[in-house]
Amino acid sequence: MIVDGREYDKNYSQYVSVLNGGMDRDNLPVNSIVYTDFEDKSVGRWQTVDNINAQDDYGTSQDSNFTGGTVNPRGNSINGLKYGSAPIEGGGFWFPIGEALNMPCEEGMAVIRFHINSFVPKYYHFYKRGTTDRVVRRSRQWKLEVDGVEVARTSEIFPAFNTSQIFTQVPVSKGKHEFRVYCKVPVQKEADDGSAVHLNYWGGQLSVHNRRR
Amino acid sequence: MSRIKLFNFYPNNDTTSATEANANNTAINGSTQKIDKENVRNQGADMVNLGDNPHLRFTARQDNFAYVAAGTAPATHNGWIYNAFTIGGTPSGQHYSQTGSVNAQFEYPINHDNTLAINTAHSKGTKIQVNGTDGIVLEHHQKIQINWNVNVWDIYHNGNKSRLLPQFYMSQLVDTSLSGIGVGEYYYLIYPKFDTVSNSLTDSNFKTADDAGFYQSGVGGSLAYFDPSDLTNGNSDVQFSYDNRRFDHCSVVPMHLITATETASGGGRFAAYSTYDFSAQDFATAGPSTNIHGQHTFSVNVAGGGGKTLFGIQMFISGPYRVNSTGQFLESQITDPAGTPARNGVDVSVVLERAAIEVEIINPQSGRA
Repeated sequence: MIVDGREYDKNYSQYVSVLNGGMDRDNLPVNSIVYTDFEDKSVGRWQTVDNINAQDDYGTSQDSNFTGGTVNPRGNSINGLKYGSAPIEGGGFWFPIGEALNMPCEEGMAVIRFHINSFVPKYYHFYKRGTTDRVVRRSRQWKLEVDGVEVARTSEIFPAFNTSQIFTQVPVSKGKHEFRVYCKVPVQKEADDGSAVHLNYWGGQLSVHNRRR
Repeated sequence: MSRIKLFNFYPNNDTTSATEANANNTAINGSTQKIDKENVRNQGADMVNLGDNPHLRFTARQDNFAYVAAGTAPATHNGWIYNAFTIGGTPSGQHYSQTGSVNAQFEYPINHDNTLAINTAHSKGTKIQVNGTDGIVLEHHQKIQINWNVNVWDIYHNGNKSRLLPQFYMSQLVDTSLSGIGVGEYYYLIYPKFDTVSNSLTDSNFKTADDAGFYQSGVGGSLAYFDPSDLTNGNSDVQFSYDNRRFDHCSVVPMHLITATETASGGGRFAAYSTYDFSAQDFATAGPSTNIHGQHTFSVNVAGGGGKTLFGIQMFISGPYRVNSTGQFLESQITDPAGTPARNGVDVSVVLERAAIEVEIINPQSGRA
């Protein structure tokens, strides 16, 4: 048998072109690609900011009304953030909590989850006990920003203890993006003299899963 | 295989050089690499080419299917009552772990089933069996994500003082003449734990991720998880600081709303956050049953997954924890501020109805930072 050199060359060349970057679903067996075949972070990447708490963020101070003795026979105390001190100061504006999450992303979706435990002591709520001296409504609110743009916000939250949740998905471009959580409390009233703890938060987590398109 | 470098043997003649053909065959035969992105066309691979679980290693959901009719009283069932640790062991079938008992465990698995009875088998309460009896061999950089929903049916005054005696709970901060135990600064915690011990899935096998051996505190600044098993009998007032332990795997169960009014005569306000008979009673309530939702995501941060196999995951609930100046502590006293001696603790229990847990284990390639 005589090999037809020209046809042999053509077929061989096509065969090699498939090997060199032309393989597709017709060449690859069914179920042949498993997760270890993926390039690291090629499908998605995931970062978190863990254990967000007021003590780490700003330091906390002691409630000067709930201090034991006849007021609180158990002798316990409450620590947290107060009016007249950072970061609350006069209230009414957003302040950041936890570290900013600066995350390299691929084009696709940022699946963002946030949760945090918080405590707003309610012993003075609208008024100081037995007086008409006004204090704020005891509440807090959370929001989430991506690159400085708000993408999700909770309602104003009133229960004394609460585990607040945010879940949202945001389309993102390739490149680094900043994810950050903020808190807001109501504007100070005349009797908010900084004696009462208004807010404590702990056990927060910001989780971002960048799913590639 | 990667890219094959070939001798250009595509001249315009009709002669096939044996030397050139052999050289090219040798180039292909000599490739020691696997097929990679140099060989596969852009977007050439399709779903049919993917093996099982390229992204998610494991997913599961466990629901205890515990549903009761509106207004069902806590005492109707025993297994759904999770008591404060100061409450004694009768009637049987409730969750007890007294602070005065030897080797007390200061937490409970959430393990009541659809009949509202304690059931320690998997797939009944919130105990998930992971991948049958084989479990899953954990790998470094896997992400584990857990979601849970627990319905708190009632804040249950199963202890010393009735919910109709709110004066025992209200501090003088909120009422002019009373000296109750506080201002409502107490709560329960709900959190997941993990079994890497054996596929028997006994409750004592379930531990925090660090104690289970596939998460290590100190790696990248990570902290140890809050863990009631660090408590031993007699030191239940040990403090857990908010910034020295991880609490981001916990959700809180609020118990009492206590607040003052502006009337000079006092008249503090008191309400329970979850009340089974909210529509039929005249005492204050902050609402009917309360859904407590929580979530947590964390990495297997130990090389080789610590050599651990994950067999199961289960939700747990603490006793009443209480805020103090450095964080929180487990309550060990009953509620009896008017007694001699006065005891100013919290012995309020909780009643849990439906509870469900979902888990995802994400493979390292798509879960890494």
